Amino acid sequence: MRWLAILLLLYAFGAHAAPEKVLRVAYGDDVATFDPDDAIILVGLDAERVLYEGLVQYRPGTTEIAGWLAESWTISSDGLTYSFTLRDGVTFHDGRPMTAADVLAYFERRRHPTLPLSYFLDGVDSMSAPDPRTFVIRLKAPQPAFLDRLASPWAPKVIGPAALIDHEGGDLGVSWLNDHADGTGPFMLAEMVRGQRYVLVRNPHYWGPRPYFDRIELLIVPTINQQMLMLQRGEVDIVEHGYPFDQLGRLPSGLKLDAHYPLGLEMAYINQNRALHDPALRQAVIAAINPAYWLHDVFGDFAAPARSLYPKAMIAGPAPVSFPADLDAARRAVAAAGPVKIEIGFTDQEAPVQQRIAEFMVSQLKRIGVTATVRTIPIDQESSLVDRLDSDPDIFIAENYPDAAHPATQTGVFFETGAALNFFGYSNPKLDAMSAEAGQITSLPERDRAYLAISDQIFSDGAFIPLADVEDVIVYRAGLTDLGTRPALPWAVDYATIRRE
Amino acid sequence: MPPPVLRVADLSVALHRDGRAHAVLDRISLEVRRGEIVAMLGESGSGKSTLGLAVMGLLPSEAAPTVSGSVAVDGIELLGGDALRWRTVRCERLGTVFQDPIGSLNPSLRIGAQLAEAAPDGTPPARWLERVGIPDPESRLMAYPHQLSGGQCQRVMIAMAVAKRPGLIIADEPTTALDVVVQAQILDLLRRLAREDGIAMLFVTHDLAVASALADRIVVMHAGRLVEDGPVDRLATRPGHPYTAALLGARFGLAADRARQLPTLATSKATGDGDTTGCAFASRCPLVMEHCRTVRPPSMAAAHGGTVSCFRAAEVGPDLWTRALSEWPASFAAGKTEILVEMAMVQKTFAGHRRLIGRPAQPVRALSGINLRIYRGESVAVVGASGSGKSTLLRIAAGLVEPDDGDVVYAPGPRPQVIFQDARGSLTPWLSIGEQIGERLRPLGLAGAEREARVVAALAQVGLDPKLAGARARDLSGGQCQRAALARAIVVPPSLLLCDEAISAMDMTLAAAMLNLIGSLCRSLGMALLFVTHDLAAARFVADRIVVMAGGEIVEMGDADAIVTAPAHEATQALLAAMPDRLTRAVA
Amino acid sequence: MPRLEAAAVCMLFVITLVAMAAPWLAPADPVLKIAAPFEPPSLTYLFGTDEIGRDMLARMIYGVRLTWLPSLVVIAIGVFAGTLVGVAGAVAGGLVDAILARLTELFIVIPSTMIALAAVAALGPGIWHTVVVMSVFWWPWYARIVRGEVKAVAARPHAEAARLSGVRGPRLVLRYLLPAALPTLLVTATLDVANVILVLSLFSFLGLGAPAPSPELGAMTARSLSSLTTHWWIPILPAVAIFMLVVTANLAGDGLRALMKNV
Repeated sequence: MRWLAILLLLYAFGAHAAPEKVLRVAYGDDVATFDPDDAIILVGLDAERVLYEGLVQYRPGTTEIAGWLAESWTISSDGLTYSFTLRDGVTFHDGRPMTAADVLAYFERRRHPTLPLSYFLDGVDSMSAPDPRTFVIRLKAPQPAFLDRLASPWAPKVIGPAALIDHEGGDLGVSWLNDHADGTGPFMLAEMVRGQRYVLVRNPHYWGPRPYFDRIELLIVPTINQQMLMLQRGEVDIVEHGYPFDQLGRLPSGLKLDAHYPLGLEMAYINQNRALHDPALRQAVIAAINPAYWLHDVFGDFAAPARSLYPKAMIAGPAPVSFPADLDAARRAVAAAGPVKIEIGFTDQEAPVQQRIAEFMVSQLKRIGVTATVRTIPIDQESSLVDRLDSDPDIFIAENYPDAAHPATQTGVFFETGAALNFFGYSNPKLDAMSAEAGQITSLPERDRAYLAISDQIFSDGAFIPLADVEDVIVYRAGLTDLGTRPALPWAVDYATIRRE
Repeated sequence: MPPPVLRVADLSVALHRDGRAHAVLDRISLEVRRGEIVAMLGESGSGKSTLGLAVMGLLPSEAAPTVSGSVAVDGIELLGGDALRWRTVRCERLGTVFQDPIGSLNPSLRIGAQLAEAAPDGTPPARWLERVGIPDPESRLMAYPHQLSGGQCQRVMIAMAVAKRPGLIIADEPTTALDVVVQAQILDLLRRLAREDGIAMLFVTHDLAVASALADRIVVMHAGRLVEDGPVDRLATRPGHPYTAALLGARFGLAADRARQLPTLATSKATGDGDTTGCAFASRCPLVMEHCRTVRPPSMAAAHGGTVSCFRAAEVGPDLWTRALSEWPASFAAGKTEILVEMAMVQKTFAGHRRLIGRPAQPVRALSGINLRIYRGESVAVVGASGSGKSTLLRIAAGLVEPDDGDVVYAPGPRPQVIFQDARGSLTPWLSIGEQIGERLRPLGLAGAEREARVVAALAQVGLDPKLAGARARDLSGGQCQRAALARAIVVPPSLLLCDEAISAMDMTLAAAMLNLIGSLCRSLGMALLFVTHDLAAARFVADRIVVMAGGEIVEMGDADAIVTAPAHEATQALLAAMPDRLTRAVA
Repeated sequence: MPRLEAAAVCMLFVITLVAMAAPWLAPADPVLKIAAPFEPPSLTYLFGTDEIGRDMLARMIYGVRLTWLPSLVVIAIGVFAGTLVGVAGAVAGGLVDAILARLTELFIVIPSTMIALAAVAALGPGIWHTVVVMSVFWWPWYARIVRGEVKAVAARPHAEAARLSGVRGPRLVLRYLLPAALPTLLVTATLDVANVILVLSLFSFLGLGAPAPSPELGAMTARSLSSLTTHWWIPILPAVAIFMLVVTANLAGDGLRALMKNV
């Protein structure tokens, strides 16, 4: 064993002798935390998923579920018991081997009600680790979307005993995990200077294929302009998000882009508690915000009119949603309602794109006689919109992401009564019943039909307006390949597979 | 005979204003010899200051001066020479003393440093301070200009002028801003220094008394021309030019005839606008002949031994202007027994200035225990040196300042009106004269036309053109401003008119006219007069009674002539001794 | 007044006219998309179109209106409130004066722009919030000027003469005291317009001005900065406009100062 260690050491030195392969990525913002249970993050998601790994994941480019830490799994015929066979030879970053007991201990932590993402396991009845390589979850009721939840970018990802036992610190290790990481992934957290950069280094004990890059440097560059400059100068290799759509058509030579339809959907949330409580007026406004008027101007060829309230990577609806087309009728409806002033809101995180959409809408709304203004909402106030319906904007536009590729996750997070991102408190009992029913369907075509019916219902209520499927565009320096992007994985490349040709 | 230190020959200067040339000096010739003091006398606008500036090479460049003739200092011709030569002469051979000593000193440098800079020969600066009579010179060297009084600053300026051991000192109204007593001391100092060091001095002044107190020779300027030049003592008795005679006549000394008005001159036209034909004084001259209007009188020998430019010099005498003096108008004031204002035990103390660091300055007691009655129609003069409290007394009588203690009781009637020393400053710059006069008519609720008529009448009463009702203060001369202020005061005649040094900023001829006007108006309108002044001659001329103040108290009070002839209090004696015409005798 | 400054004063009037007549002058509605986005300046669209396809010339004209008129309002409120406070202190004297003077100084020493930023951020962005908040902080300089000038002039003989003439109360203040402060007020205010424009532009640059799509010059520049290399006219033209406004106001202030000195 000692000889092996020396050999490994020698090998490590040998590797160092060759030039280190470094990938530099621009981050627009700080990472809230790499703790997989503590927050829904977008920035940093790509790093988190090479530090920690879950049981299953989506295959690159698809929404098919594949094994990850679980080699295979079985689902009991009643749909209640999920039995996972764990991969052999997996170790945590500190070298300790991972067993089913570790996985169980971690899942127990994830279920702890103080952790915000514990809701992923709300339907779990019990868990067990009958042997070191078997982990069993038993649900309270059948949940056809459960495996999707485990493949979600924000799914449970196994944290090692270094955090959960050695540095538990009375808060489930949350504070230790603020600037440490202890997972099983192909990279380890080497350096963390908040506001400046995060550095990942290759995990030499990794169970899977050896990543091409030795070192990933994540540089915090707050403005997209600077990110673009650095990309052109080669100071970073990848801009994962926010490259202006109007400049994608003329990328400087040496830059390439990867575009794919994600699970995000550009939607308009209608606040029915203020000016738009009148259904006729609402229909008039919906006629004016029709994406046909602005989609191409904003996104060029990188978007398509929405086909339903479910992103087309989730359910490929038959045809684009049809908006009321008669602008004269809309103008008459507005004239009848008297002077109408409305406000269009969006979060500061998505300001450039959403603001442009909003201003196109303002222009179109003006044509039907509605005076609209635009308001930026700080991202941290997004979740409390529901508490201030009287002063909220009348329309909120955003591209938000469901938890996973199963339509139940979209319905559950946006449309159901009391859903987390149901910003304007839309509630329709009929719809909730339809959703409960659809959630139990296992046949895919049948399931999709049920959800498309739900989409039609919500659209006719004028509560959520599907606007556009917008491609996730990653701009990178030519030469990189195997980016490993996935519809379910927003703003992210896979550092385990990406390499330089 | 030694060569002249300053020799000016045929000097003409034209300044440009609003694109037009104005001849300010017209063929001036003048010599000043070593050790000689020459007073240059003239009313404002006569060009006397311009001559000083021309000699120094400091004519205002923005007025684009055109200069011809010759100016030589110690035989060095300055006109046409380069600026460097002029600067060298100015630095080495010319000393200057200006009217505003505080403004002429560098506020950020200690006195000692400024003196050391001026004295090239290494004499210790303290020596100079001692020579100009500054007590405790060593410690004063460390003072900054603002820590000295105006008189002390002027002494420092004089020390700096003398310290470079110049051949010539040009002094432009150096005592005008000073108190009478201090003025006398400064004049004495200048004279002594000039004599001791053999310095030639050109002393520019509007004040005949000052000129006669100081100078060996007087040159009289009028409208940019030098009209008379003669030795000081004989010029006073044998003036050859009617203008000089007018200046002499307007000098109301302590012996002026109170029963009649003072001799006055018609106001001067705007000075020479290139009008070189004829005598510039023709329009004001009682002896004018047709010849005078067409031919410029040449400089000719005068009876006093100097020169004069007048065809009828032989007929001019000191009494030229007093031969036909006007009587005072009849006085409307009855008996002078009704008490108009009664001040009883009036006290006033001004709080000391609060300082940023240290104790507040001592409070200043301005008035203590003042008892004063003014009777209806009476004329009272309050005299005193500066700081004697006379102005505070006036301000309390006017109701502008509240006394700390004591009573001021007025007889019913219109509020007293005040004529201020700064005539222009007493007129609101952005309002027309007519509006300001009309302001006092507002309470009467007159119709517009009637109000206008009253304003015009008031203007006529003070001898102003009614057209000036629409003018602003900046359009008027100083004398006109004072008349306008007077018109405002009398448009509704108050029972008491207060004059605060109303004539002390004026030159002799203007002051005499003003005194005549005030005296006449008080008599014809039955106003009582409280006339505050430092000038005993003016006080005696205008007042029935004189009140002498010193240190915030009334130290002497009595019949005007009695006070002047038999002063009892030493403050009164000091004021009398400081009178420039007394000084003449003392120095001569 | 030098020719350049005189021209600047004329420009101020022209700018004010343009600001007021914007609805008639602008070739198009500033929020309406009238053409394809990113049309470069041409004869059809003199200043090109912006990222929405709105006419840049129209947006600039309205932008001048949205920047200029609030600046004037802030200055006007500042001058008015400052004059009230200054006159009140100077005329009342004593304790009232002391309290008002301390209050004025307090407002001068606090970091007003920072507090104003925070206040607008708290109230919610909007041009009128900005104007109100800025006005709250903009009066003290004027109060100080007016107080000083009125106190000085009240002690001058002509003010005393006016009081002796029986003038009192508002007439004394308005006719005899306040005009003395007018030249300084006018010059300060004109020079100050430039400061207000800059602060307003800062507010709008930071997204605290009028809500989009109002064509505010600062916000127009801020939001389109990323287009600098590709569609230069969108961020540059509003920035140039701000620059011109500020320079014009400064020159005009200098000109007025020269003029006042000669009065």
